Amino acid sequence: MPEAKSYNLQWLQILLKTAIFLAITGAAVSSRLFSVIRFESIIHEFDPWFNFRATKYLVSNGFYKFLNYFDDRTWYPLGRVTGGTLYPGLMTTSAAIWHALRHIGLPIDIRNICVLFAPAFSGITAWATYHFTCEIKDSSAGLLAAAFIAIAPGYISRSVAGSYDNEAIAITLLMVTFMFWIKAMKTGSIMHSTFAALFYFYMVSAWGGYVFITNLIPLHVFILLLMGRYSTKLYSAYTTWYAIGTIASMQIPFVGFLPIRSNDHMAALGVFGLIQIVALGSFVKSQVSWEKFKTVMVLSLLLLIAVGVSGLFVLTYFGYIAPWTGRFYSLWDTNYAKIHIPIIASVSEHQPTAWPSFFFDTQFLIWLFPAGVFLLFLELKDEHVFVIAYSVLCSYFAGVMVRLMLTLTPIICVCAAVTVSKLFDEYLDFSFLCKKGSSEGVSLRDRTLTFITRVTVCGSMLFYLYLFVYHCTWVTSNAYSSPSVVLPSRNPDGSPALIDDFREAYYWLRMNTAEDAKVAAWWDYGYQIGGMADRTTLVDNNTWNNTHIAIVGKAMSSPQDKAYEILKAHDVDYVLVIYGGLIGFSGDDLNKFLWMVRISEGIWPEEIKERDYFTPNGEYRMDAAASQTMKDSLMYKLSYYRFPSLFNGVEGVDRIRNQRIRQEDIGELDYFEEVFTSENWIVRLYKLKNPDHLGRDLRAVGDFDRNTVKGLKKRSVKKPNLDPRV
Amino acid sequence: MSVLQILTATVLLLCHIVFAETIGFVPPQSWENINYKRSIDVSNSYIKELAEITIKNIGDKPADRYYLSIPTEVFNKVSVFSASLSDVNAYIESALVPEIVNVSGSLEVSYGLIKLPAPIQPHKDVTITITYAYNQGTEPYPKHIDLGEDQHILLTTNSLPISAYETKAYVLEFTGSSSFSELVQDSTISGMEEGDKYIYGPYENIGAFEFDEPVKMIYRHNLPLPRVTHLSRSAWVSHWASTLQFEEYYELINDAAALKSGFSRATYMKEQHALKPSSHLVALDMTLPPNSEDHYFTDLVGMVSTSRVLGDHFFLKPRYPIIGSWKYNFTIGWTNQLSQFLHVDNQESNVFVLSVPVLNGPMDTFYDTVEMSVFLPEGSEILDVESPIPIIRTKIDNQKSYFDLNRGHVKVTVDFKNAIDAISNGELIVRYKYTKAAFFKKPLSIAIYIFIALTALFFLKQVDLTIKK
Repeated sequence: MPEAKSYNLQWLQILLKTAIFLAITGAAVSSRLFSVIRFESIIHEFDPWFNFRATKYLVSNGFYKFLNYFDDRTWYPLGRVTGGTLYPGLMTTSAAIWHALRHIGLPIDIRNICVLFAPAFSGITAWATYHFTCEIKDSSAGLLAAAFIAIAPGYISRSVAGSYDNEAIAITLLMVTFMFWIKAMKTGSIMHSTFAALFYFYMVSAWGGYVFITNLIPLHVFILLLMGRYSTKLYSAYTTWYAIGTIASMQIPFVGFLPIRSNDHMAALGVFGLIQIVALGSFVKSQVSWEKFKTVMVLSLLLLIAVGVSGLFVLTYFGYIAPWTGRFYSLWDTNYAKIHIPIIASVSEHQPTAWPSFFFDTQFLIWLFPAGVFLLFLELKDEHVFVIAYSVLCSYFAGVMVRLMLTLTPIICVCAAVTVSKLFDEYLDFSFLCKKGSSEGVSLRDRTLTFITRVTVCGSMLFYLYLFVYHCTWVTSNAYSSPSVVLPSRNPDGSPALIDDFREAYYWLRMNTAEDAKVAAWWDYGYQIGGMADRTTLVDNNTWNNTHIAIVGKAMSSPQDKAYEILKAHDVDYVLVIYGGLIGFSGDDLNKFLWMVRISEGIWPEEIKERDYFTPNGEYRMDAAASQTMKDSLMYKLSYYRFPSLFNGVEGVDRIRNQRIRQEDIGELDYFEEVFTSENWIVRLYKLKNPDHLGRDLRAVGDFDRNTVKGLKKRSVKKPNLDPRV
Repeated sequence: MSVLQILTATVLLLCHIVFAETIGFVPPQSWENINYKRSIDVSNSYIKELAEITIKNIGDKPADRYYLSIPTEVFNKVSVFSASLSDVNAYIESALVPEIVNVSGSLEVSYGLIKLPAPIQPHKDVTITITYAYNQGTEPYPKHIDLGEDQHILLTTNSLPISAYETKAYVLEFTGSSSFSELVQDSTISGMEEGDKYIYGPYENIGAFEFDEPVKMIYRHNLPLPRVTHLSRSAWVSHWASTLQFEEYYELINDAAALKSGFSRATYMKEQHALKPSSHLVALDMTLPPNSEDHYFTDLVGMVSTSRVLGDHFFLKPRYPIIGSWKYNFTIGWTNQLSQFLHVDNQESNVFVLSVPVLNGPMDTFYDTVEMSVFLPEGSEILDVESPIPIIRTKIDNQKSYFDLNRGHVKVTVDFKNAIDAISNGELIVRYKYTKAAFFKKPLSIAIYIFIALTALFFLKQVDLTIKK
């Protein structure tokens, strides 16, 4: 969109732009509110519950206490140095918003701020994407990109209302940082690169994915250097960004000295060194003749590479630089995690992406994306190199891990916007119809044909755009707007109802157990138990201690007496299992059970063997054919305890696995006592029985009680025989 | 030391002296109980006691103050205390006096004071009826039962009146349950069943402060025993919207018998306990003021979707059935038209009288503490607060709410203790002044702030930061 000359037209442009932006922000926010309208203002899923809890802590205790926050209610008995092991950006931002709103007479509940945090920031993302794309092409592409990012499901998936996660703010910061970087790199402005560095710092404080920026900007600079596009602008932009950005990022407690010690950050440091040498080189080059310079360059390059690489090796060998982390390896080898770190592989969002999800998350943008990259190749300005590098890197990452789809989405939107606006630039130009005088040479037939082609192209593009909006709304509404804490369902009369079992059980825990009760559950539910039930957990979604998780896994996979010992040794009072067999909830613990077995097998390979949990034919079954180890395991017993009694007392039908569960396989539960089961049986809570007063083991107690009951029954059977004599 | 401080200190000292002297307070022996009939109604979750006493002035001066003794344990939990003359159907003045007399060992007695409308001449008699309710001396018996098993309650109460006066004839009777039995069969005192009552006595010639072993009565009570340990109730007055918004936060416990073993959902579902009357609490029925709107039901983890409004009744189904000894905290709220509660004072301009019901909770419930707050619009001035039940504490302060850019809403908080559902007819009356100037100040101050913000933005936009010249 070229700047208008006349003053009035400028005003009109500003007015239109403002109107368009308001509309885009409105669309972005409102499409993210499906979950609030359909369910309620609630924090979603798992990780957001932790962020929410940390935010509440920050709001009530202040920033300094928050930085020193030691949480003794998780990872019992270890605890977690929460203040030093989280990215505080998200919590501090919402706390700042909370305080700011209080000062202007809006004392909004912190929960509502957290719930509506992501939608609000999606508006800013759209704004940043607009400016970013303006730098890449022009403002018409910018507006399109802003509109795309506002409603693209790939981004909405992590930013619906209630999805109070680091990603909610991180994508915004990612785009703002890149926007300032492009501006800085184009102009060499120190102000812009300082802003880029400050937003980079903000990003570091908000999300572990900041490493992506740490590597992408140096990569961009490196490619430009290789292309021989060194300029003083690039030098001032990069050095400013790197110096300020690195020092600032080291202020985050969780990051600390990583920027100079970890391999993930070495590329940025290397490029920083390289650009100094190139700068020196270009200075030398301007002073001496070409031949002399050539030899100097070749020699110094060889020397530098040798020193650099060997230095890196030596430093890594002696442990000054941290080696690559497992998560990093799993980015390159998709099977790495499955073999070496099952805990990473057990998370569904770490699985490789299935191809339809690319289409699902971005619809027609996915096929405009390569076209956009191609168009940028044709021009190949310095900033286009950035977009191309970003596209290539992220396409790969998105293919490896589902969750990285999120970082790919912005650049897809940018490239697609470039394509669409290029197309519109060419085809939406109907000015030839008006220019009668100047188009002497063009015949009427040509003009008609041009008109028809342009109308067809524009028409079909508009149709695609319409379809895109339709698709986005549909996906958002159907796939990404469920809080997953509450499940939608229907009453027998067809009216909508909610399956609220999780909160039912968590609330029961909160109200009716001792405040310091320890709950053992699989780590998926750790954050929710902490957030909703407010009870101490053994393991949670911050999977930093594999062994501790394996302990819970081992307890779940062991027979009840052994499990009792393990759990008692960890002071556990309650065991919580998720069971979906009654109403058909597929994400239950029995379906995750193999991961528990695998993770504990990793630590105790001689005690837990995955093979034992399958039938001889290698099937994963729960019915009569299940292996004895499976039937004995605590998870099996806790899931199915008393389940057949709902049917005929002999056999129950597990609706999720479609198998018949026999009472005789479940057997007796002597070491645990059922204390609560939610309405639809999704959450089952058991209490560890107290040790026997007489020092018997609990199985003996159970046997004794059962025999007593049998004895009583026999006696009561005898009685009627006596009656006739009276 | 200012005069005020000295004065305060003196008053405190005096209070102390007075208090010290009244330990072991024994009222003047000007009365005699000719006939004392005590009926205990156990049909509710709390105990309702009715004492019908014919008293005779045995002194030589006319007397109008009668002291009814109540064991201090019970006294601390007494809710409504009222008295009336039997032949005239009108309430007479009565109050609880916090004076204690030690009868023996740990047995202490306090008094309810009844002030007769006219002094009674010597050797004349009069019959008064005193009612009070309390939540003391009951416990489930046995303490643990199975799901669906009948619940019995053990009530321990004083067998004799322990009156401060001599009693000529005394009867104690229990009503309100389908079965009564005594815990200790061969006691010195025992009663007998008569129809649906269980009667002790009549006993004759009981001395002042005479006591015996307490009565331990077991009765069938297959109903939940809901008790609100704390209720925080607030009403927000809005003159602009002309609404009165209510919000209540309940901390509820069911005092019924706990389960013998853990809660088995399978049994609960199979035997359909949700539909049978039993000692567990499945739903709550809140009676709201008529024509209420915008109801909500939440708890600490979010919305509870299982509630329904039918007319003036707001039915709540908690997340889980509240079995004996289980707890449940929740919040409900609704909105009414302000005109239902607000009256304009005719004498003075800009003066309003707000009468808010004291409770809107479920039937058959005892409340340990109630904290009721009324939030008046910013800039209003409180003239008077009146309550139908004794207030422990009244506090007036400010609280900021949405768009309170000045001092904030004026908040009146009154604290009660020991309330029962029966007092929900009572109304807390707040008289306050709210001028037209204060009424218009609010939107005006919002407008001014927005104007300042926009002007600031406009001037900031004018600042040129570019260094290219």
